Amino acid sequence: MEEEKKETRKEVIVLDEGIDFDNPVPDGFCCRGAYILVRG
Amino acid sequence: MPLSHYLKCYPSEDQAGHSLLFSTKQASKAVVSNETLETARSSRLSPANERLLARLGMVVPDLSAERRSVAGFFDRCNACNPELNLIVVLNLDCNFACPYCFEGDRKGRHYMSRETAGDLTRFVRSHLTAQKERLSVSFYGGEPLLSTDMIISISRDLGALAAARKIDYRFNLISNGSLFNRRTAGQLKPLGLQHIKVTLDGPAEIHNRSRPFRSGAPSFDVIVANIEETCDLVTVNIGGNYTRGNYRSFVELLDFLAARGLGHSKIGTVKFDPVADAPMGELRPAGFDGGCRSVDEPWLQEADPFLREEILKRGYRTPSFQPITCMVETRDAYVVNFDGSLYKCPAFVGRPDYAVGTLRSGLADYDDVYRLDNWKNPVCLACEYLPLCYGGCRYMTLVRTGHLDGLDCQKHYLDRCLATYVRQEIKYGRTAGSGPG
Repeated sequence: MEEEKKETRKEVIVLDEGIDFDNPVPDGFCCRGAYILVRG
Repeated sequence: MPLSHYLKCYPSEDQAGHSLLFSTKQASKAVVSNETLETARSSRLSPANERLLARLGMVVPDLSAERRSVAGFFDRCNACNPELNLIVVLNLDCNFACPYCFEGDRKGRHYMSRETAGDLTRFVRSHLTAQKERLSVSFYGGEPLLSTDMIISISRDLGALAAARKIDYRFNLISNGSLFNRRTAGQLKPLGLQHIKVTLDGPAEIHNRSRPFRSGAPSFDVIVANIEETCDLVTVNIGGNYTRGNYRSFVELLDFLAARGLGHSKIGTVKFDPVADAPMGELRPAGFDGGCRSVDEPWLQEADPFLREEILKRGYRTPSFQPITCMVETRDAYVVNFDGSLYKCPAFVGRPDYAVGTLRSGLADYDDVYRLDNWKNPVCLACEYLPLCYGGCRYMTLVRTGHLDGLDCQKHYLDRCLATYVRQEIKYGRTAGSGPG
């Protein structure tokens, strides 16, 4: 509960770190020629 | 540090006085109070918050360096790509007669010969440089499973080649799903089959009109039965091609699949796409006129978010919004046609103007043919959506104009839809993932 309170007081709540844009690692195609990147 | 040029801020719908931040560059997401956002705008963040937002790519030390980094994205991808990737068109034959098929009259009883398959192995051997950690092949058609023996033969050869280099060989299938029964799945899995993408164009009634067997017989039940009997062996991804007139009925397909026990735990990813029109100057397939010419079509801006919501709320995974690199821009990626000719995108196969060489002669310079770097112009370079778009899809440019001079700009579409997509991904958690479509 205390943790939860701390979390709601945070000024920045990270929901998704996303990809490493500076070091992208391709990970195969979808069928239409778009190359998917590995997610963090 | 200033805010990233590639940052979108949307009002939070769940928390009053808060904003939702999305980096089009990193696909990171965060919620901040509006007060914190104002301190970020004036570069007065606390050190801790600044470090956090910098990690998410939302504030950056140098805006010019950031723009250079976005412009150099493909160079970095190409420099560290661990994979040699081939899409191999085994045949241009098909046991279906889909009225919208973009391969049109290029289809026929054209199959890859043993000799061409040998050329393919030699091509791979010469392009599998020491830095590669994986060899990945997508078998395509026509219908690739009309060439199952060839899949086995090529996979044995490439698997042996990869093993000798101590790297992984894996493959997947882009198939109509009608021939993928348990026996075939069992044959192919030990050879490196990772996943299959099959297509269901909505509920049975719609699908059977869109994707009948060549005899005219319905295919829906056959495909569903095959998914049921193989999805524990091989990951099955489901795609579907919708039109303005039928997209709402795809919800019935999702409910049908769940009711048949093919819920999100049994399926890899689900993604529905609009049928594209025939390229300008080419004849449309007889009796079909429902294809789209641009993501900017207003109905599509309703249809795509609608279908994405229906997919996600049932717990299915669908590819998330994030930078993706087009195959055309990826150096170690080729499409091999059945006759050994080489292309840079599967949608261009069979159009000689877009061939870039052959397995035997090797690659010609294709930068001009495919207008590489067409997005390196002042408008695109200044656009906050550049990392999600990079000039859009060249095939859609061909559809609209009949050539590749020009761009498939997605700005208006992303202005209209991106906030919805980001909110969907937050609402449904990490269900989106990034699995191959």
